[in-house]
Amino acid sequence: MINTVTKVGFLFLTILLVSFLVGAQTTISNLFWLSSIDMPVTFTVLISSIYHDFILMTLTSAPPPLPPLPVLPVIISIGLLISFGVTWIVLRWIKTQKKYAYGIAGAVALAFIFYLMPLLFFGVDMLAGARTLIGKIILIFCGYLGGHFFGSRLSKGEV
Amino acid sequence: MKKPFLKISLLAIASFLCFSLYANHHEKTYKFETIAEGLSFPWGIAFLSNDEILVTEKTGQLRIIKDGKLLEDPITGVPDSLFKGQGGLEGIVLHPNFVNNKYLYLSFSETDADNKRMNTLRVVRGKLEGQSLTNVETIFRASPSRKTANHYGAKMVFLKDGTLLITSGDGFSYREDAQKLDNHFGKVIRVNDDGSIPADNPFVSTPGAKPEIWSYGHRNLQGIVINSDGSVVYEHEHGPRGGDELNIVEKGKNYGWPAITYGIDYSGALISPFKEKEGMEQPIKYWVPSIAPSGMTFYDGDLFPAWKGNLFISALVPGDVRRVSIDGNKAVDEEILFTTLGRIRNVVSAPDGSLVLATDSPKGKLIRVVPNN
Repeated sequence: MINTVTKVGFLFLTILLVSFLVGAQTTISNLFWLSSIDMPVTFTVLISSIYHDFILMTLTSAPPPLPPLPVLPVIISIGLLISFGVTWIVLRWIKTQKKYAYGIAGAVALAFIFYLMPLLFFGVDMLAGARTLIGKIILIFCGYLGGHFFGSRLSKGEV
Repeated sequence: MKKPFLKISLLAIASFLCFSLYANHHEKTYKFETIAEGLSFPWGIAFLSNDEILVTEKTGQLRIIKDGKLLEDPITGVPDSLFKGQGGLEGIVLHPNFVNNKYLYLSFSETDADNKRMNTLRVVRGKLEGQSLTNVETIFRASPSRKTANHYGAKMVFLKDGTLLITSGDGFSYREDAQKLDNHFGKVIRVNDDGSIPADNPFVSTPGAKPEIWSYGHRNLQGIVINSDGSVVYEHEHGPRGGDELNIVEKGKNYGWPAITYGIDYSGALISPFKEKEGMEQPIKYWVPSIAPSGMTFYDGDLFPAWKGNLFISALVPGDVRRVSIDGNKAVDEEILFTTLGRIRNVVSAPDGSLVLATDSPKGKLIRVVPNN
C-alpha cells in the first residue's frame, strides 16, 4: 500500500504534466497557424515558445486583479481533484484497472473545464487551443494521459 | 555618523518639495466640472452644440444633456442593442452636414436575427428630429456573426472626403480572421455616408475580399480620429496582456495582429513570438503593460494652447488619460493626466475647446476639463 504522501506527490506530478500538455497544445496550435501564413517558425522557435509558455502558464502567478496564483494549474487541480475523488469512490464498487478509470476521469475533468469556461466568459475560450473542436478533443486527450499516468502510478505502488 | 543622516534627510525633504511643486503645478492648469451623472455606462459622445450633448449608454439608451441637465427621457426610435459582455449601444457620430440633414450614426451589438446564439456589430443612421430618431437605416453589419460578446470596436469617424470609417473588432475568439480579407473581424471599414461602398476602397477588386475593408490585422479598436486637416487617421487598439497600440491607419495596410504583437495572451501563452514582419505595419507607440485604451480625441481647441495638436487617449487601466505628443509620424512624448477619476471610457474635444471625459460605471459621469483660471 503506498502512503498518502506518495499519492499526493503523484497527484502533483499529474497536475504538472497535464498543465504542461495543455500549455504545449496551445503553443503548437498558435505556431501551426503562424506557420500557415508563412511566419518563420523554426525548431528553435518551437522549443523556446513551449518553454516560455510552460513558465508563464504553469509556473507564474496571474497578474492583478486575479489572485496571485498560476491560473491554469489551479483550474486543472480543481477539475482533477473533483473527478479523481468521484473515481476513487466509484472504484470501491466497480473493479476495473485504475489507469483506465483515472484516465477517463482526467478526460472528463478537462472536458468540463473547456466546455464550461465559455459559459463564464461570454462565449470566449480563454485558452486559445480550446477554440476548435479538434483542439478540445486534443485537450481532453491530454486529460486522459494525465489520469492514466496517475492511475498507473497508483497501481504500481500497490503491487 | 550624523552627517550622512543629515544629508539624506535634506535630500528627502528637497525631493518631496520638488514633487509637491510639480504636482501642484499640474493640478493648477485644469479643473474638473461635472456635466452629468447617473449615466449607465456612458460610451459615445457627440456635441450638437457646446451645451447640447448626446451620450450613448451601453445599456441601450441615447440620452441628451441640455444646458447642463440630463433630460429624463431618452431619445426614441433607437434600435434595440445587445447589452452583454463588452457589447451594447456604443459609438455615435454626427454627419459632417448634420446641421442641414440631421443624420446621426450609431454603432451597437445586436443579436443575429437568424440565430439567437450569435451576434454582430451593426451601424445605423437616422434623422434626429426633436427627441426622436427617425428614418433609421442600416449602414453596415459585420459579417460573419460571432458567438462571443467581446471586441466589437464600434468607433466611427468621418474622413475629409465624406466617407465613414468604422472600427470592427476581432471578436476575441476569431483573431486569426483579422489576417483574412473575407470577413470583417479586426478591420477598419470604409463606407459612404449611405452605406454604399466607395469605388476607391483598396480591396473592391480583390476576389473573395469584403469590399468595405480599408485596413486589416487589427484587434479591438476603440479609438479612431483624424488630425485637424484630415490628412492623418490615428487609431488605437487594445492588446491582450500588453501590446496596446497606437497606429496611423492607411488604406490597404496590414497592421499585423495576431501574427505580430507586443503582447501575450491572458493565459500567459505567446500569441506570436514575432514582433515585426515585412508587409506588416508597426505601431507609432505601444504599451506594455496594457493601459486598455478606450477612446481618443485629437485636440485642436484653444482653451489649452500647450496641448494643441496632441492626442488624448482615455485608459481604463489604471484609469487616466494619456496626452501623446506627435511629431510627424512619431509619438514623441506621453503625459499621464486625470488619474483620480477611475476608469475612463472616453475622451472627446468639445466645441469650446474643453475636454469631456466619460467615466466607466453603472453610475457614470460626464466631466468637463477646463483651465483652472
